[in-house]
Amino acid sequence: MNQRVPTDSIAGQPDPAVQAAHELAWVLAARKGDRPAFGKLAQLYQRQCAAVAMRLLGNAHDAGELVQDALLKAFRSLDQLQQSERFGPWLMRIVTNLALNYRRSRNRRQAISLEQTVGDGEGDDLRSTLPGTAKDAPYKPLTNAELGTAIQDAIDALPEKQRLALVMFAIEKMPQKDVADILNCSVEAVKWHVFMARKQLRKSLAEHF
Amino acid sequence: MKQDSQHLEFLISQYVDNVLDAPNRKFVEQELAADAEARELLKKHREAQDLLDDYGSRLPLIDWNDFDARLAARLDAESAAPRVAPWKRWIRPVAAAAALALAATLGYGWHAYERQTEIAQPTQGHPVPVVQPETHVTINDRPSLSGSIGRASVDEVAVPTTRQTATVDYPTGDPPTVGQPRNLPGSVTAGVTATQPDGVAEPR
Repeated sequence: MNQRVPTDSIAGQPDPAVQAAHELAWVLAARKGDRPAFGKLAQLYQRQCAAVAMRLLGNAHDAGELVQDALLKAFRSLDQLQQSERFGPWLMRIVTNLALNYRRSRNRRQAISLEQTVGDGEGDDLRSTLPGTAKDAPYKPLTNAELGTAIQDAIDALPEKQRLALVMFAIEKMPQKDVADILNCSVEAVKWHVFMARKQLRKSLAEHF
Repeated sequence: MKQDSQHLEFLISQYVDNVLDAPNRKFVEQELAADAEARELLKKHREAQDLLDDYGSRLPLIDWNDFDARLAARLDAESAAPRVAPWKRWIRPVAAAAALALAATLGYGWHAYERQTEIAQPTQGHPVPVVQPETHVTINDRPSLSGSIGRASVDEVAVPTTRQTATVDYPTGDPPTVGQPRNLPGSVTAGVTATQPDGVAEPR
């Protein structure tokens, strides 16, 4: 049976112990105001943060802006980091919190905008353009981009914790312990969220299997 | 049975993620070898994970050079700004809260002092008449009494000859029982404004 590569030992990466030691030194230096040291930390994590942010927000531009804000916030709040050796999960928690706040405010804005449009008497036209309303349309295979959009929509529809667990663990391959730290739950709960999310995703995307 | 099935599926999900401990992994592999349904579940979870792996391989299209330059500029600006000591961040809200607490304490203290003075004054030989709201006086046995006789001490209330309204000032904090003011002849009712045609007063 072929299985996934264990998440804690990614091939091609430097020795985790050495990397952890470097990272700790940069964190300690950054806490003393060393800007270049923080730059190295940013370089280390910004791509992973951007990937998670993009899965949560649905577009790369917003993800990039959000990661900038998260890094700046982390730089300002370094004195609040309790365990210097846990900088990565701490930064990712900032990213996910900002992303969730951004999603909530965006959803509110969309709801208000939709209400206004319906109030103007154009709602029927708009609703007919929303995904999932053309039930009578004949099935046709999706292109790669369309499949990506369908997966993103299915992820968006998941409950918050399931969505975060799926994105960070099943897609971005973060260690379960880090995901548990970020979600403030147990490792077992992370496994359960991933299990439920994958099951729901399969149901949502049934026609693509 | 359904619970067992879900438990097995949960274990299979962890098997796909390679996060099972040795005994559970052995159990799942035995189930997979013996049970076609378990193999079907494994197939479903693996297909879903393959789809996610494919989706995860799509990296966000971000211009990292531009990203680094902008971040560096923002961090430099942040570093150049004078750092505020953590305790200084709290000084304003704490000062505002302390000012509010002080104002509330002073206000309450002043109010309590005023009340105490009001209560204490009559016993100190400086009676202050307490003004009661207008008291309407109606004589039951005189049907159409109406009008106002202004303010008067209860001891000085004159029995109105027509239906009148009298304001009674009581010398102490204990007003007489409603309906039975002191030194009033006949049946006098306080707080009465309506009189029935037969002259019987009806308190509101």
